[in-house]
Amino acid sequence: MPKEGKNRLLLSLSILLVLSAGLFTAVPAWTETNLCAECHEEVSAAFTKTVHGRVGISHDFDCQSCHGSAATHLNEPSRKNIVSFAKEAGPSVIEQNRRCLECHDNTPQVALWEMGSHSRNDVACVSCHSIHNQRSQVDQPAVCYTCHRSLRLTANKISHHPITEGKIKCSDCHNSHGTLLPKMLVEDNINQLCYRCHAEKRGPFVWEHPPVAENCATCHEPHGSRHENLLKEKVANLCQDCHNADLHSSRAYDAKAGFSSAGRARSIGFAGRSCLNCHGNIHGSTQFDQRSFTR
Amino acid sequence: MKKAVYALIILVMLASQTFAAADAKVEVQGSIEAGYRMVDDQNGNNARFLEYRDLDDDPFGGFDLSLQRGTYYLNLQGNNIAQDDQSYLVEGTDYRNFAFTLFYDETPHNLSFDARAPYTGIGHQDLQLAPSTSDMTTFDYSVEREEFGGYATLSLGTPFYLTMGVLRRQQDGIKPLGSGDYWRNLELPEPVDYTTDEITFKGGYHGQNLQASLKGYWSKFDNDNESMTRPYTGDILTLPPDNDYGKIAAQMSWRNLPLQSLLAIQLSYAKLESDISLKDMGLTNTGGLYKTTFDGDITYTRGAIALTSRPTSKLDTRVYFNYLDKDNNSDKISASQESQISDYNEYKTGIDMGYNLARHTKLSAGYEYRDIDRHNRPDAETTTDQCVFFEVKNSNLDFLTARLHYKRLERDSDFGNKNRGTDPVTNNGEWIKRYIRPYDATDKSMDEIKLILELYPLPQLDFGFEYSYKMNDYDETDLGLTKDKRHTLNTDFVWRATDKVTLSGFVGYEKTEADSDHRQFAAGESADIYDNTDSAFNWNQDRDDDYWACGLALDFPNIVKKLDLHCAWQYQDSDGEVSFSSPDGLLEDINQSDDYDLQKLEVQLTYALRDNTDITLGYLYEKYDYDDLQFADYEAYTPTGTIPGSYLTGAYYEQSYKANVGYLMVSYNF
Repeated sequence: MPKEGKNRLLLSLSILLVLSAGLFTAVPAWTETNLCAECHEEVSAAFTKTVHGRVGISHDFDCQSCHGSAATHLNEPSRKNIVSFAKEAGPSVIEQNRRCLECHDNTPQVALWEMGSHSRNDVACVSCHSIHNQRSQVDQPAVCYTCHRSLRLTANKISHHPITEGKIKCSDCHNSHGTLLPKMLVEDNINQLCYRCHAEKRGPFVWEHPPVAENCATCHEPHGSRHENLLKEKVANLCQDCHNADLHSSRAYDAKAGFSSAGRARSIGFAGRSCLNCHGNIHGSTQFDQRSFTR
Repeated sequence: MKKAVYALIILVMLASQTFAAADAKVEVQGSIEAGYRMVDDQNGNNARFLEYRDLDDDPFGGFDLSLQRGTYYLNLQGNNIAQDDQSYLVEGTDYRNFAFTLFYDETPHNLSFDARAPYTGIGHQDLQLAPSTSDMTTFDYSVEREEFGGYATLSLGTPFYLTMGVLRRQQDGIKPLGSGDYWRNLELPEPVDYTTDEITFKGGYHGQNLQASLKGYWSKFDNDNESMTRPYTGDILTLPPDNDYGKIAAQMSWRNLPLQSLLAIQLSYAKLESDISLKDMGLTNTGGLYKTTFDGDITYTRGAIALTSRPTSKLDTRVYFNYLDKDNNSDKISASQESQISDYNEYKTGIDMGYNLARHTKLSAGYEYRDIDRHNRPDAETTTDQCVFFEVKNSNLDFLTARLHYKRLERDSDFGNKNRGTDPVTNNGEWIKRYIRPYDATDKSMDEIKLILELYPLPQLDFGFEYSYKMNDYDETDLGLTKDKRHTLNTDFVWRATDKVTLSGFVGYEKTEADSDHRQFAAGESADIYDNTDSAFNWNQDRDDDYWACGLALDFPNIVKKLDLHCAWQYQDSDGEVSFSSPDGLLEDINQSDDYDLQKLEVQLTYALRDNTDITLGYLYEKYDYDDLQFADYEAYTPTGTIPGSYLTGAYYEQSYKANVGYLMVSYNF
């Protein structure tokens, strides 16, 4: 059996081990009388199947752990005398989130919650997390687009990362629970983030293209673009924003430079993939004696 | 890699032993779906239609199985089984004891189909000219990405945890690579045969007030083809080199400090290496070289500290400092050409605060100072940014939240090319550099304003509005990008018309403008921007792009008894123009610049055959029309004025498509 096959087989066996050891053991039943269920039957039934509901059985918390004491509410049922997380009523976002952090302040994922822009912009935990519903696959872009509307527009453009196809998640690049970095990136800078998937762009190269080596976002729009390869502008416009040497990079590629024209006006610097027709190694080259990224 | 896989397995096995044996009570739920799909795609080259997906006349299916036992949760998923975009996921969690994830995922990246070239050896590094130029090979530009691996976290109910993960990413296929030598250009099929192995570990402590972690990450990239031969000339083209990347990062954070403060510190060190030999690459020209081997060595060192506080119930503050040093110690190879190996160090510090006023109004403001020192970039040796922002947010009304945000950035750059060149004619290649400023690092002022409204006019209706305007003014630039602007407008709504029926939609519009100045000149002509002749002159181009998109979605369960309806429609329109101005006025404007319109319609009818069995009839329509002057009247043999051998293979040519997809699917839920 090839080495790869062996590894995959061993991984599969480990899954079976987990299944056999983990699943077929007993759990305490939810036997206590749940006062809330008397009125909120549907919510309560759904909640008992959630992670919180199940953990609550063994870790001694229930509805009142989040919603506060129900004593007054039982006498006079109203949203005003219970801690409600509904958007039109209840405590401030800070107070709502404090309820969550009472248990989750030692959760590693939210170690830097207060540092992030979501906390600083008063985004409630319940804006993204559906506490009463059973755990299911979260449609991350749909959740994020409810606030980040411009990103829905961008990510739907014809040149995009496979976000709408479900192959890349927002959390692959951003930690919505806070980091010490701008845009709540999960890596120390943009290039180190991009290099995680695009390892072939890492180099080190003999010849670097300095703006490329410093910041991928100088040329690329990571969420999507009208232009091929998520570029901010069309090649050659993008290249000519910085390059103006004699000969080809100094000339104007106007409507006469395409395939449709004939004679001197027609140019390989414009037709087809423009500058990339020749400068294919624009991210860096290991050609020892050539620095023009053409070989 | 093998050791890492075994270690992961041991970790998962250890985790599995944390369960005490007792009576079993497992809740199982999930779904299995299977169907058949028929696709009618037109216009031949449908790489754009299939860019990241596999839609063909095929059976398809998937499953989703969840097993729960108390705090233990296990989920198994399979999507698009046996397709090129299939994925499988197994994840399990036992609260505060362990969690694991195992995954396998395939993603195609179809770039362009039906390319043609008179070469042999396509898909390999030894590319040769075919015996006859009429002896064409047809091939697809497409790269298949395959990822598999797993992560496991072990905590065992203690405040300590250990996470370990392994991943292998394989990429296989062909992508286009442009190459040039003087006036000859060749578009070549570059073989892609990459393997990236990654190992991650993280250990930490998560206490009530103190959290600390240490994380390691190692990634090894292997390219089976680090070079390839170039037909016609027979010279060697270089391809991405193998590399090794390792990183270690530490983080500590303390909560509940005085003034409700949180203090966090991060430190990290990363090292990236490559090792290239001129001989191994098949290169022979050693003239003008210091060395014939290249040791690539780049390090990143980073430190960050931040403190957030809430001194009063109404005031929150944050102060931070970030330092990043990229150090490039790679070999300098060429004796004759200026080295382009660059590095930089950056520090950034700032403060921001928010204050809650009466009537649910919050005022926020901040200031940030950033300094970057670059090595080997004379066009922008140092840049200094000063950035301020102000924001006001009000949510006093039950049905409205409004936010107004303004940001201004002033960038000063230390431009080192002011005195480049000795003569504008005889040394014009150097002289011109005194005018060119790179937009990524030159002096500029940036203004940005955003207005965001969240409206809930009715209990059943949510409405959102967002407008933003951003303008960059590169005020010191003579040649290059001088100004760019962007207006973006977005609205959306969700209307829960009844308890069941939901209608949602969005409209977005974006307008971008960019102005740039340039100078045309040739060898022996003046690069002085104040010295214009008939053949050496200054010219300008303005780009004006408009893009808008809208969409509607309707979910209507029980439209008639047992029948659910889901419809979604989307339309996009992109229109770009480039206008020119020059002294002779002879430049012709471009009206087809990445113009396209895209329509998508999806209709799905689901009928409940039984309580747990549904049958779904679906239809998908997509139409994409692309129009761009650079690809109009496309010819493989490149324009006149080139020397023999120039050739384009058809990469990205003919992207338009129209496709109809119909499918029938049965789902069984349990």
